[in-house]
Amino acid sequence: MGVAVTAARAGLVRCGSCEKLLRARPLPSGAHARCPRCGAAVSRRKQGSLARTWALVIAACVLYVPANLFPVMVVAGPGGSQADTILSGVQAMFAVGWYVVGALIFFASITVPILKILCLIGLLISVQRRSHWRPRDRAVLYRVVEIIGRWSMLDMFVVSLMVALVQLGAVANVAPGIGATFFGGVVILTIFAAKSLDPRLIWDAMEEER
Amino acid sequence: MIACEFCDLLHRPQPLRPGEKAKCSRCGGVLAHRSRNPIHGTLALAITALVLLVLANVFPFLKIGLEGQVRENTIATGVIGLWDAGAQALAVLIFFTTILAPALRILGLLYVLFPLALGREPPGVAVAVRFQEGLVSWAMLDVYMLALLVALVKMAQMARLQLELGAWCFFALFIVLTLMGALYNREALWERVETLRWASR
Repeated sequence: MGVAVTAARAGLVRCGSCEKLLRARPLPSGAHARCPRCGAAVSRRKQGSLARTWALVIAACVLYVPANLFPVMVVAGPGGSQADTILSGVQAMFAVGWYVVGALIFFASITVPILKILCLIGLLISVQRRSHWRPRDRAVLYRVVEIIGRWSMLDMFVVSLMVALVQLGAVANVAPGIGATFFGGVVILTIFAAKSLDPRLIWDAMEEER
Repeated sequence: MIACEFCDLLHRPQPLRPGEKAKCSRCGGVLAHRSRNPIHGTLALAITALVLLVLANVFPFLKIGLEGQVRENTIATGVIGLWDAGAQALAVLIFFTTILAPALRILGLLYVLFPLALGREPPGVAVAVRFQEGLVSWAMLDVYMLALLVALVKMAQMARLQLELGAWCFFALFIVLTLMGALYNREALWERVETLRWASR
């Protein structure tokens, strides 16, 4: 690969809001550049990207523990009540033979959040170590993580629907567990984390040593 | 010149035919896409989406019957049920992602696109554009659709279920919103704003 001509190298800055390319000018310290077309604050890279992403990922890891230990849904029926965590809910679905739905929930609430957190940590470490390892694959990974994250909300929506729909008095009653709230927190934090990570940092490391 | 959003590489923009996408030669991210009729088309779909959103929230989407009791449900029933059951934070999150964020995104788009289609620049266009773009990843009606299917399968054994008018409005809304997201073109929108600014000089 020859020398990559990036906007930064050419002395240009891309407005993150309206995509206009602007000529970079030296600024007095503490001042913000603004885009003349749309008025958004402009910076060459997202500000404090790594520190912010680390903070959000670590917070998501912390919330992930109670999200899995506490029940997300409590079903009360004539035969007593049953509290299900995310994992035991999936197990129960497999036990009664609902493989497709069970696999869907497993994918959305267990595979996606774990992979998302691990991928973000991997990307953060690789950027900090100025890794040259397969930048294009890491770029694709970032975009996949950004797109797929919202699907983790699936189980939260299922719980909300069940709670609303199964209020049949003495016959059956479904209540949300505290685990669902923690899990919602994990999803929100990882969405913010993916947004705050600047994928251009992956490529900046590739150019430094030339 | 245009710079890649994902890796900052500079590219010379190539003319695109409607429906074509340009991808970055280095990282493979989408550089630009051209949609047919990005202003008027998106506006038409946004108006449709607004109507469908109202209908999907007004009409119940599911009738559930068990041992003589029959209940009808709207999306709001789910939010209120969660709130009453003590999960207020979750209720707010669900309300935001399934009702408020889609509604505000549609309204934000209408605020921008209506005047633009008539040849005027709305006041505060930049703020409005950023506002509705920021909501894109929080409007999760597509995820909610799938959740509805899962919930139906889970409940089908407990009770008698019947899909109502609201469910079909909801399904139509999902399709219209997907099309609207595909037609929406930020670059075309800003080009339109700049053309109007030049003309008024």
